[in-house]
Amino acid sequence: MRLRHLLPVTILFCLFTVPSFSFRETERKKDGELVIQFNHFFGDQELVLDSVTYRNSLQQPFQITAFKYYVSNIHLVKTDGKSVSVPGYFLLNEEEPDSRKIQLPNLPEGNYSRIEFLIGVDSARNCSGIQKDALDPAKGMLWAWNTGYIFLKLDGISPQSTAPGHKLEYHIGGFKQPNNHLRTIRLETPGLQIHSKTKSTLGIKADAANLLSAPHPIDFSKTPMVVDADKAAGIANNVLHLFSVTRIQNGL
Amino acid sequence: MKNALLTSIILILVLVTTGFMVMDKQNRIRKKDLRLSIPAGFPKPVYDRNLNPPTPNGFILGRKLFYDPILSKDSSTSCGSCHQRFAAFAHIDHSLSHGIRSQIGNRNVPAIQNVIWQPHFMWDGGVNHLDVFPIAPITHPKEMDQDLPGLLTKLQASKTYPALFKKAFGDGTVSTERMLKAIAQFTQMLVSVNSKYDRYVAGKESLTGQEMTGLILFRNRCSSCHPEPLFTDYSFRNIGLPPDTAIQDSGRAHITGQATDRMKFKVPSLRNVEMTYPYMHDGRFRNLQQVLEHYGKGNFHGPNVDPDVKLNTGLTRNQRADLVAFLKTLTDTEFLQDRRFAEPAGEIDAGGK
Ligand code: HEC
Ligand code: HEC
Repeated sequence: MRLRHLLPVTILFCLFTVPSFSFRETERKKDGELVIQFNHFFGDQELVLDSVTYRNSLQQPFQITAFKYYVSNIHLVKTDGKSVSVPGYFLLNEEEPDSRKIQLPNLPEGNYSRIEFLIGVDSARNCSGIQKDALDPAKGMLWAWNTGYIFLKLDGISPQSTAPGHKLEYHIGGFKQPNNHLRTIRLETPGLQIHSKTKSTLGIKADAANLLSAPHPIDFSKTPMVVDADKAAGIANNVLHLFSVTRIQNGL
Repeated sequence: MKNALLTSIILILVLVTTGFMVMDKQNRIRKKDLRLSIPAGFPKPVYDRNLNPPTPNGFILGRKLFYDPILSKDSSTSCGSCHQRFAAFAHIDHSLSHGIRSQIGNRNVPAIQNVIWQPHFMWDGGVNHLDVFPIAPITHPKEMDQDLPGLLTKLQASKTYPALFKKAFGDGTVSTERMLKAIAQFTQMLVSVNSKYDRYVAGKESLTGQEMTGLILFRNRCSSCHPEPLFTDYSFRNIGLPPDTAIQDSGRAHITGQATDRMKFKVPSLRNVEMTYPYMHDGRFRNLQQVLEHYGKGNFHGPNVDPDVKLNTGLTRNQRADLVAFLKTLTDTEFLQDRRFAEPAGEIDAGGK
């Protein structure tokens, strides 16, 4: 294929998901606050790095050494169907408890029935050069040899792993077709209300066990590593089953 | 005796001061040094200079970083140790790159020139933006093997860098973004547009008969992939080189995972090609003669060979000589000797280790 033909395609997918910024910076009278608290689990147990031995759905033992992911393009949908979009890219890291709390201080009052967010970084930010803050490449979440952010990383160790050092590495990324592994999470938030000048809390559980099980069970002896976008198709669909709402607490 | 001593002291002082003055002049960059004059006929650059406009202090910082081995884990290897100015920032006479701890890489060091027109980088096009490019060599275990947080800490702790970051960006904080933008302020200036060929196109100089014959032949046989004025269309092509079984480089397929992209590589620009030997992604050809033998023989390897080379074989000895004569008109001496791009004398920070 010649470049003439390639360029428009490249530009198209780079521009495809330019985030919209309808979230106001300035605080208004009728705005309230929402805190989204992400909690990491393995099954029913709170996730513990390094020291606890877990088993995947094939009963293979392993420890988890790192678990982190990007949340971006957050939308909150009101019961009347209107949606509020929240700018920003958040890197949630099991090792840094503060990173798992996303504070949205200026959310319009109202009843909200759904939250939507992207696990990963939209294509626009994958194509426009150097980024900062949560997207700073020093965070270790950017593939240097095939430019693109790692959307989600789960690292570990298992005696069943056939990789050097019995390592497990599941790095999900890829924003270009046919390996577009950006996944939108949609969660119902029945009864969630935002009242002006108060703080509501939304608790979301991320169950790392689901990342390795349905619909695409991971066998450590066969796939100890997924570090290329073109090998991530299966596990990327497990991401859709990672999250659930566990708590809704409205400010009064 | 006393007089002689005094005279020598004065002489030494004068020499040292003029030395510093010369050095300073060589290193100095003014605003007008950062203006680009691009001849007619060139396309619009893909790099948006407005998002990272070079300033004298930003460029000086970027140049210093480019030539400073502090960017590698053991402070042994700089960008400039692989990318040599007199070779259009390729590496003369090394078929595969030499990195930290004398490790041999998998690919030949390409030129760095006219990168503002380049939509993707590396032989396989894996990197999509000039600003993020340096992360690849900096963090590669066989090149500089330096993690980014560690590098930021080293730069922040060095004697000279915080002051240079302050001059360039307003305060002394070292960040990934600032470091990479500074390096890109240097690399975006590496523009080669003043070869004999360019002066011929501008009507300022004429080509010899042989060079002219070579140009016409080139336009017929080579320009479908190496079109003027950049001498590449940056597409990925398979020119039928047998794969090196030791390196196992799959080329573009490494990025796309598509079998049909195996052994496709980015078409390199042929500007300054006289100086960028050895040739091809693995440096397998020592000279232009060998390159042209490959194109001429028609002995192409593998299933996905590009029709533009396949249908176009046969080059006589004379034709090869004409092509070489033409290719040498692409040498841009002004670019290769440009003082702005030289390793700054006496400025290198040896500290911060
Ligand atoms: C160990 C040697 C080595 C070092 C050190 C090195 N490079 Fe390179 N450079 C290479 C090689 C080899 C390639 C080709 C890589 C590939 O295609 O896989 C390359 C490619 C490039 C390219 C892309 C050229 C193109 O046409 O695609 C740029 C730009 C570049 N290097 C800049 C830098 C900068 C800036 C630094 C310092 C931060 C640096 N390099 C350090 C060896 C090196
Ligand atoms: C089908 C597209 C195509 C055509 C036609 C073509 N080239 Fe190339 N050329 C390439 C590609 C791709 C490479 C890099 C291949 C690699 O590294 O494996 C290359 C590499 C080269 C190089 C080595 C440059 C370097 O820096 O390593 C030279 C010199 C060259 N070509 C000259 C020519 C000449 C002269 C012609 C006409 C006789 C020609 N090419 C025709 C695609 C083409």
